[in-house]
Amino acid sequence: MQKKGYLSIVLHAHLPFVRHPEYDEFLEERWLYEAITETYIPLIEMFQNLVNEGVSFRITMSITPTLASMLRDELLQDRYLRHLDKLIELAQKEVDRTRFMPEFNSLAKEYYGQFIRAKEVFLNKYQKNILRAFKEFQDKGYLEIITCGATHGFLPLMKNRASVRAQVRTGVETYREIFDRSPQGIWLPECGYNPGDDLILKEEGIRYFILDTHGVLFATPRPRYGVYSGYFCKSGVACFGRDIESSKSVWSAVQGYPGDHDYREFYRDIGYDLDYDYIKPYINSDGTRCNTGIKYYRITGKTPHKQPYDFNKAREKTASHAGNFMFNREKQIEFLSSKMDREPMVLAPYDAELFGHWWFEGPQFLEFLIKKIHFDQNTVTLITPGDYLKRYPKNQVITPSFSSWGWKGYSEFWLNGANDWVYRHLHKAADRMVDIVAGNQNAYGVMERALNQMARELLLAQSSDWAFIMKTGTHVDYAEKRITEHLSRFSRLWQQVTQGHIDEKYLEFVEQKDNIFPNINFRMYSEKKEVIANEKI
Amino acid sequence: MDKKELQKLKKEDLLALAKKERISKTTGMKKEELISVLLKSVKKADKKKVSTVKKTIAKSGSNKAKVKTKITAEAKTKTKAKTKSKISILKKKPVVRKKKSVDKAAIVFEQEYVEATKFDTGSGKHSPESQTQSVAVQSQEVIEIPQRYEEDGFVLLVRDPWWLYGYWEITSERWDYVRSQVSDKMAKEVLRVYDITDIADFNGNNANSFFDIELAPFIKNWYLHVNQPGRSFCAEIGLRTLKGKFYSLIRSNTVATPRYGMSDITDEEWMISEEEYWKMFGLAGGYGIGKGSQEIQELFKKRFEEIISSGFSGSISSWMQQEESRRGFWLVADAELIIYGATKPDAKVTVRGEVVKLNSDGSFSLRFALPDGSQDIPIYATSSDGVDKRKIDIKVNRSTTKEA
Repeated sequence: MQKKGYLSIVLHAHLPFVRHPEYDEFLEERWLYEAITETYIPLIEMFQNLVNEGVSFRITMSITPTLASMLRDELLQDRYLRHLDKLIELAQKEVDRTRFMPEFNSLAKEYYGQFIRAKEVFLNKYQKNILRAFKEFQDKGYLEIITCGATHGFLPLMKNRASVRAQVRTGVETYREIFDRSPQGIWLPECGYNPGDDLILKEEGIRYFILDTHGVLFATPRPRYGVYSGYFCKSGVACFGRDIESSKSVWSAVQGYPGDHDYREFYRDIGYDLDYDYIKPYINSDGTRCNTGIKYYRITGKTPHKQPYDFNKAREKTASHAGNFMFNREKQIEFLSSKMDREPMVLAPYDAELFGHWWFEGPQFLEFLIKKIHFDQNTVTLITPGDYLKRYPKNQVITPSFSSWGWKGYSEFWLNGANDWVYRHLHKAADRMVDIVAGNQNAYGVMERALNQMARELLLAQSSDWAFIMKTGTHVDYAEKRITEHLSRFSRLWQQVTQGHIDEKYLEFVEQKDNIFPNINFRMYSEKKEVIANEKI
Repeated sequence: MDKKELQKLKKEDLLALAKKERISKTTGMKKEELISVLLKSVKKADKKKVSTVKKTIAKSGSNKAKVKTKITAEAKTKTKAKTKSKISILKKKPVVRKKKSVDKAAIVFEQEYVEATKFDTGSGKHSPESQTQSVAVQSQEVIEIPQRYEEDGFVLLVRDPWWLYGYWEITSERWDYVRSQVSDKMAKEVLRVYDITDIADFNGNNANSFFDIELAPFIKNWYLHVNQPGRSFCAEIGLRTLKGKFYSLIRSNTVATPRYGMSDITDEEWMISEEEYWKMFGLAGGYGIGKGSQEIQELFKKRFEEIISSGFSGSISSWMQQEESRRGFWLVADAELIIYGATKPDAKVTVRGEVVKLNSDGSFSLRFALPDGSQDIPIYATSSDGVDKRKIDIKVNRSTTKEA
């Protein structure tokens, strides 16, 4: 039977650049370690299982330049390995400790096995650089990896176009260094789109980007196929809008699958539950408790009295949820294809870290889903936006609406009383960058290094994560520290360049600390013909 | 209370004032610093007052001043989780931890809630001072950003279809110059917002419409409730005389609010009837089959209003609810068992049938979680030549009772 339409799953993998050589251990580096163990490696294992079983699939992933930079950084690779070794040691102790409690003992063994496998994948299979795994799956035709803004800067709140261009270009160039090809698509940070930004994407060779639902639906003129097809902007760059239903069933902790009572409870971790002296070597080095990643309880319900987690029961649930998700997509696509004169595409984008880290069973869910799509039905085919464009190269031309996928759909999560003070400084730094670059096109030697470092500091300060964290309220000190540090370093270097005297010792110190984007070229901040910002729509 | 009044006061008086205003960490501050901190705190209070008077509501944007590594003192400590290291005997607190690490009030939207878990290490507090600095990269780096840049500037940003945000700086030179042009000493500082949709060369006098917001002293940013999606705006700060004459101090960039709702413009090549168009959203949008296009259109509109005005739902917080006794008191306790012993270092030891790895001195130690019930723990040791054998059998019984 003829397939009727497409499902495009997009996994957005991102973490801000956190690397602190000045400390032996650093709490916020755990963001990366946890994501590697709980999300990135399980995804790699899942892809590998599918390949081994002869399942054909197409998944889209964005791996942001900051995340990629950390994954290929030797210091962080070694530190991750040290972290993982401790985790294995702890899991081993747990296997012993829980011997009288069979319901926990089997879980402890499961974790031990997971960590041992993670080490095998990380160290032996990919020699500490798991980017190789993703590249391999892309080269073999299973993944379409897209890029992102250099440091995940929220583009609609940038004032000068040069800042937007620098974010995009650095994203494209970092991608080329890692994946030996040019990116087809881009994940606009937070799906933040401002009409006119697509012109910059065009200049940098990007073919498509992803929008939230209303970015497409509120476009002008009215989009013929809702969010179930691709469209072109006037610039010729294509865009795709997110489907609400498939999003919600996974994102929503209440109505969605991840809130199921049989699934693992994220907030009950042995880092908090166990005897202090016993757990001390495995928590934060200053002795404050934190998550270890070993969690024994299931969500259970609205109660603090959590029941032990049952792997088999959760696995059954996962299978049934995957079946349910597929059934809903089949119905949705059957219906759409009866209303459309082309094959519909349902776009389902998620944070990659949702799978495994937040929703422990997530990677298993994806594996079941992809297998079911392959073996059990005849309606839906997995596709990437890039492939859909090849299949449908002629599309309606629209001007999408200013939008983001954040809270309330626009800029508010990154622009509110908790974080609005940053923009005055970010904008000033960006303006200074553009000005100083104009007068120093031919800089070389130490002057060129200083200008390049200024570009790094500016990009790092622009991460949307800092504003995000200030709003959510955890690790706020750290976010504020980071943004002020980068701005402060930027202005100090700006002063030195302006005065024509570079403090080389200081420059070296900062280069060593913020060592992201080794091949950056400050000249990307040169003013070109200005694109009109915020074009009236 | 303005700057001049404060400067007249003695430092002791300022400190007392600061205490009254609940400003912490004032020790060691210079007089000037104290004044600026005080002004900031007063400003915040003022802003609240202003916003209730005006139709235009503003959220107080915080003016972060000079930031020295720890980002000043004001209002920074309230959401910090308590350090949890003062734990005594056993601390198996059966409490779901959510509340402590994430500010629930800030996260009403499920997606952000889930995204935030990426940054959740469980430890709400970050204290690099107590972490060990490696000797390799030490520095006495001074981290600071200026409070102002001594340049005139006014920038508008788009928050959503109904709100803009603006921040500005006006140098004293500019201020004094414009002031000198205005004879009316009662002139008020106002923020004037112009609707300049479809106006190509705005000259200050040809806007479609405008409205004023009176500014309290020291305000340097504001949220502007323009309340009109799909329009273009720019703004000016200026002095407005009693007679209504306006003297501009500075003008902003131009921005456009996004349109809200579906466009009525359709293009010929991609035509579809209204009826068919809305049907497409029937099942696909989760609204069910068999509904009329009008009905779907209404449901669709409602769905978007829900998403955009309030986030998906507030139910996420109730899902996180935990039962705690009304007085906040609690007790938890649990028990673990340590089995330890020693034999000849080259002997073979099994505990409950499993081989135990001996330390180099022949000692061993095992730690078990101990549930209620009785446990039988036989320990066998066999000499390396297999000739000598010893057995020790330990029986443990645990029973737990609770009283409320």
